[in-house]
Amino acid sequence: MAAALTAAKLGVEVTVIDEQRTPGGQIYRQPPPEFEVADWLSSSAYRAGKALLNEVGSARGIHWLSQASVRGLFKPETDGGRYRLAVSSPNGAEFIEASGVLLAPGCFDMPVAFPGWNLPGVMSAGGIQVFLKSQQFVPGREICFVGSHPLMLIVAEQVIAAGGRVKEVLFFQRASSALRLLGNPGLVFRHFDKLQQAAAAMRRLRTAGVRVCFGQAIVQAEGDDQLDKIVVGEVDHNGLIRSESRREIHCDRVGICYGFIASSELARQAGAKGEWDPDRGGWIAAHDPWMQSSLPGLYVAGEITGIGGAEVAEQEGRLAALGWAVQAGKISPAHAEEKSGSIRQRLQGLRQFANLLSVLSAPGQRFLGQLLDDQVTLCKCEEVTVGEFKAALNEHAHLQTANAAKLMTRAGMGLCQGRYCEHAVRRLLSEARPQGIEVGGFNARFPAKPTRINDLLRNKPSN
Amino acid sequence: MPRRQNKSVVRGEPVTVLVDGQEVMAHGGESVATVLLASGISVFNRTRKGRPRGPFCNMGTCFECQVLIARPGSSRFEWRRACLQQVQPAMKIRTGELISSADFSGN
Repeated sequence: MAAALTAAKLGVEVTVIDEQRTPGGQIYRQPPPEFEVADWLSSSAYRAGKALLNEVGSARGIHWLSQASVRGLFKPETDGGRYRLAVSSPNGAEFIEASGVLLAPGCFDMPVAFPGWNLPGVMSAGGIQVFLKSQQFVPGREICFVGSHPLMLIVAEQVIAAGGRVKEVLFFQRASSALRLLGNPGLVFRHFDKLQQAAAAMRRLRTAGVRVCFGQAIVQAEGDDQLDKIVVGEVDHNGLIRSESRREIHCDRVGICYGFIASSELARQAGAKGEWDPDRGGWIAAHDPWMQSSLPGLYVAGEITGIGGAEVAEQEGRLAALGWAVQAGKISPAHAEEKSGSIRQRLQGLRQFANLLSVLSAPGQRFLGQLLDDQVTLCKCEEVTVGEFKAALNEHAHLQTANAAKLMTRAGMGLCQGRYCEHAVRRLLSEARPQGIEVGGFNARFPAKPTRINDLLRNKPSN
Repeated sequence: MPRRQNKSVVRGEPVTVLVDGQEVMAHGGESVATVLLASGISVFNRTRKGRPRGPFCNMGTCFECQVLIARPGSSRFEWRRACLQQVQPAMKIRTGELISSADFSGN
């Protein structure tokens, strides 16, 4: 939104291709237009985003395509040529050309596999939040949250505010690691307001009768056709779950919250360069100081550059718009430099906090690995278990990359296109193969999401 | 039971849909996922191996929440993600059916 507004104000012709019905992405996911919600996202944390929504609603010069999804991003065939985007909407498929593209595709909740993780009732915490924020709906009678990310506190509060019941919020980090962070006065001083928010959320939850625990992790979700209870265990100082310390918590909905994975498939498809960092979103795109990727004319902003949250996305979007405006001759480099000063300053502090948060809330590969018992489903779409995958790796020593393993085992071939198993596949492969082997990720190909062949065959008249 | 939050919320017009042959009351703008959970249904589909599945991400990336949907007046059922699909009057929904990825309709 910020990028579109900044660019449009400088005279750039802007088209926004938005998957949702209304602007706002996932963080400011609006209730349906048919609803009237008196105090939607009333917390001060959402104020900036709501202001953007207002501005975007009345802005001129922005062509907003709703319910339109980019399935393919093709870089220009010649220098100075245009990008082609294959776009799908309820009206069918079409190609849109652009000389400059900004990718701000956001992220999705990190899937963490453990026994029973596919049982109805097990959801991502973010998914629960969407029910609350957008549908004004409490998706369970007794809800628990487990994971490592403080977003859990926010969603738990939102459940309570909506009249729902939260039994427990369980962080796998032990209290001692949180205290170590607080022992750093510089850190505390610089990010005091955010730490205060978290502490206040914890207090309010406790007042509402919610147990907030540290050093506990989910080991199993149980139920017949629907979640009936979760089993949790204590985490020792090595980050390992002690098998003799289990207890059960009855609940019909559990929100898993271990962090986020950047939606990077379009950047990868186009051939942009990136690096792998599972603690900061997985594959994240490389970029220059103006947010331009390794491909000229292709800009990146938000989670795709490293998980950073809404404010980082907003500021990076502004930078990208300025960068593009210079390239398009709409603003002089000096003028852009001047405008970018305050943005960069703000970004520095925001990114620092985001990196800190990533470090604190990353579950870590060893922790996640211990949940992968042989009977756990690794690829939920194709129903490939961890045991089956490991057996294939044992039997076929030549399988050294994620793509090779996918071809042999079908892990990654289902409808989610590997979004929900890629990290675990990489982890298992790295553990089973000698150090130094570059296992890589799944190749990103067109289409980025399942697409009807019928839509591709029908020619939509170009506008 | 999962329930709608009603404090300071005015929902869209009442809408009747058919879920597994039964009439269910919903509101304009609601997602099929909301309506199914609100009526006590948790098994949205079953995998090829018969395992139960329900919503996970609620944002269209995981494909766990698919249900069979026929538009009003049509008898052709297609798989749709319940979290992204809005209810329409007289929409027909079938839950708990066996998924086959070859049947996926891409929406």
